[in-house]
Amino acid sequence: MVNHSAHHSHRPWRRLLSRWKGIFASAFFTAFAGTALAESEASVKAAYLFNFAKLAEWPAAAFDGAKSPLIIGVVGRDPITEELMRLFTRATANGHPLEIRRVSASSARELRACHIVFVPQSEDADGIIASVQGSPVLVVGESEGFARRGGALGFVKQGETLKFEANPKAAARNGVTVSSKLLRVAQSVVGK
Amino acid sequence: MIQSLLARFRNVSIRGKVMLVTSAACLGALFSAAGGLYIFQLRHFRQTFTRELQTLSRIMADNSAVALAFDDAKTANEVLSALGVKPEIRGAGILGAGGKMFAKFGKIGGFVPPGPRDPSGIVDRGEVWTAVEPVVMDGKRIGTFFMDADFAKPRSELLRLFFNVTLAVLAGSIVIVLLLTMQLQKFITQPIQSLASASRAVARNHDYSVRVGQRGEDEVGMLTEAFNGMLEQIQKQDAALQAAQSELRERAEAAQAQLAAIIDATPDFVGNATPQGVALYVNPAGRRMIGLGTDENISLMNVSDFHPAWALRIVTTQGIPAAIRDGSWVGENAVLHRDGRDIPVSQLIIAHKDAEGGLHHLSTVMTDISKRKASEEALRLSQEKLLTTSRLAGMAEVATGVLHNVGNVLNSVNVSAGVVLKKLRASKAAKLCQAAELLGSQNGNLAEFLTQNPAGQKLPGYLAKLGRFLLEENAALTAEVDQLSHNIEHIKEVVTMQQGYAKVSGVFEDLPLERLVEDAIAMNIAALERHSITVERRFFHTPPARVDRHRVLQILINLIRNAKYALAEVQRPDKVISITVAPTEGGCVCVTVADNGIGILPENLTRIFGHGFTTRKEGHGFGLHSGALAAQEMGGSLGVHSDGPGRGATFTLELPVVSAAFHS
Repeated sequence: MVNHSAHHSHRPWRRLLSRWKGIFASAFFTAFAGTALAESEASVKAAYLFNFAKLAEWPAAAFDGAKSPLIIGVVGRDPITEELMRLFTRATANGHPLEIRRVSASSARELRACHIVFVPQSEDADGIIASVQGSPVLVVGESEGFARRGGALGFVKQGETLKFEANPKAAARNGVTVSSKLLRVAQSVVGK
Repeated sequence: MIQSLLARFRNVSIRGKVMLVTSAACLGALFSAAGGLYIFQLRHFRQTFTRELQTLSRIMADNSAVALAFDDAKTANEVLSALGVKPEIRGAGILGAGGKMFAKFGKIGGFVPPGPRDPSGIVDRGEVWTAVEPVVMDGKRIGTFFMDADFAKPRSELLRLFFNVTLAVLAGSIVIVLLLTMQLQKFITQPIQSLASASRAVARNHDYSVRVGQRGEDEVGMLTEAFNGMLEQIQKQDAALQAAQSELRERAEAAQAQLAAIIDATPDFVGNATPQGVALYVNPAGRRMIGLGTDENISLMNVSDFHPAWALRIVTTQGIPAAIRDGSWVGENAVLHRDGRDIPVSQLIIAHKDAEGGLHHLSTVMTDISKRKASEEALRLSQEKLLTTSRLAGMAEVATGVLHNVGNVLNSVNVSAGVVLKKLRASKAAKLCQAAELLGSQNGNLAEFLTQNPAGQKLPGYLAKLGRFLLEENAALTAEVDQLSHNIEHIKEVVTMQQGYAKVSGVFEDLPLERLVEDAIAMNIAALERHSITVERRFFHTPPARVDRHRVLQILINLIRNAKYALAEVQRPDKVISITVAPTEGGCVCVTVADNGIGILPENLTRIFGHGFTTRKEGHGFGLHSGALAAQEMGGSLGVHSDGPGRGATFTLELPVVSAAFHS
């Protein structure tokens, strides 16, 4: 009985190891980027976005199927797009393959088609927050007080380390649930 | 050790044994139950501990995943510090994907990656177990959580608890077992104890009437029943045995009394002694024999006091050694009377052996043979006297026999001598002389005389006739002289034979009886011719008889002479003696001499062979007597048969033959 169970628990572990061998590099990189921050800030932010994709939960209607892509849209031109494409084109989050798009701030339709919308410093944060209001979109930004202004997650810098503020209620208003685990590592949780 | 314990256990009472065995069985069961429980508990504890560690490390890894994902060491440390509430967790740590320590808590040893033997993620390192859990986010491993848990302490706590509980249970159980056994053992031990006490009573008092009350149908019940049955049987047998014993004792006493009476009453000396010769017992007759008082103490006497020195030597050198060798010895000996007399005895010495075959004691029975000795002596003397008398008588008999037999032969010698004399007197030998003188007187005119003289012419014929006659005469004389010398030889033999008459006679030869018969006839032929008696011979084929020639000849001559006398007394023309030689049915040879003479009176038939019986005035009454004796000595017999006076008589001499093979 003991042998039997050992046998069973032994094999998935091996399978897990081999299956994930290919993406160890990205995971390693994530960790590396997180600890060092000497690499470009864009890579760190791309890694955070990927983590957010994994730690947030969308309503079932937000996806066409279990394997349909999870779309990350970057508004305007930003180096994060290239980093995302470079690091995570083939990655999956909760079973959904990632799809990286560049979207226009003026097209509400394009914005609403995404699951995560990253709003760079240069873009109009409030306008974009407003245009995806009610749609299952997790809005991530980096402008000052982004979360307090109605965004779901906002990057902040704490010395050399990149942190983020979370507004789970704002996310919930769009139908997206942010994992409590994510909230735990957030610098602060804001919003009413 | 174990042996002495077992020996001691054997001596414990049944009650003690039942209690010991029951307690031991209960304790054994309790101990094994406790042992099994302990093993189960320990196993269960290990499993639980493993599961707890797995769960805890999984929670910790899960909780620290996001912190690791966002490189938030502070949060990771916070997460780890939650382990502080678990006292058994010594320390924990999180390694990043590169293997670098990301966060840690408490005391941690070196990280041990999980080997293939512990896929559960738990590494058993003895006192400290390490749990290892990959930190995974969305299916991707982003780091490793591990923690060291103290296993020894909770285990020893568990052990202590278990030990205390077990001890308490055991103590309680012992008390309960002892109480219960003390109450319950009575059901088993009491019947046995009552059996035991009954058997003790039986053994002590030999009272077989004791019975044990029966309780049930179990083994003890059966034992009790068997015991009671046995007692009953023993009781019966004991009674029978005692009866038989007393009867036996009575019989033995009676037998002993009888024996004692025999020994007391016997006129023989009966006594016994130790192998060293010390007297043990002498019966009254023995005491009387040697002049001992009836109550005189013999315990200081020795066998040597009972025998004269020469007799003691016989006892010690012959009697006792032979008795030891053969069991007993019998011989003639003597005892010594107190007054110094030697009393001749026939002594029996018996050596009694013990079970190992050694000499136990000696006994003797001695019969007084002094009277027998005296009569033997008297007998010897009278025998000697008798011998002298009989020798004298024998000599007379021999002389008579010699005279008789020689007389018979001399008769024939006489006849032969008479014949020779007559023939010689009538001899023509003188005529030869006359013829010679006649020839001598012719003085040279012999030729003329023989041719011219008529007397001379007849002379040659006369001489030839004379010569023939002389030759015949010579032959007749020679035959007669032969017969004479034959008879003289017979006389010699008779004398020689009669010289050794008292002894068993001379030489036995294997002879055809016909020849002896012919000899006997020849010796009587003159007398037979004188009485003009015809002799008929009927000889059947017979084997040679083993006989003494002269005795048989004597018998036959006697028989023929007797027949001749019997015939001489009658006036009849056909006087015949018929002699037959024939084999008998009994494998012997018989010669019968039958005559048709005067016969024998029936009353004389039985006396005829007696010494001195005769019917003739010149007879000796010796011939038939000695003949019958001689026939007996040669293993044969002489018998007679007669139909009465004037009807003849038949004598039959039967003699043994040489070989039994012949008549088969």
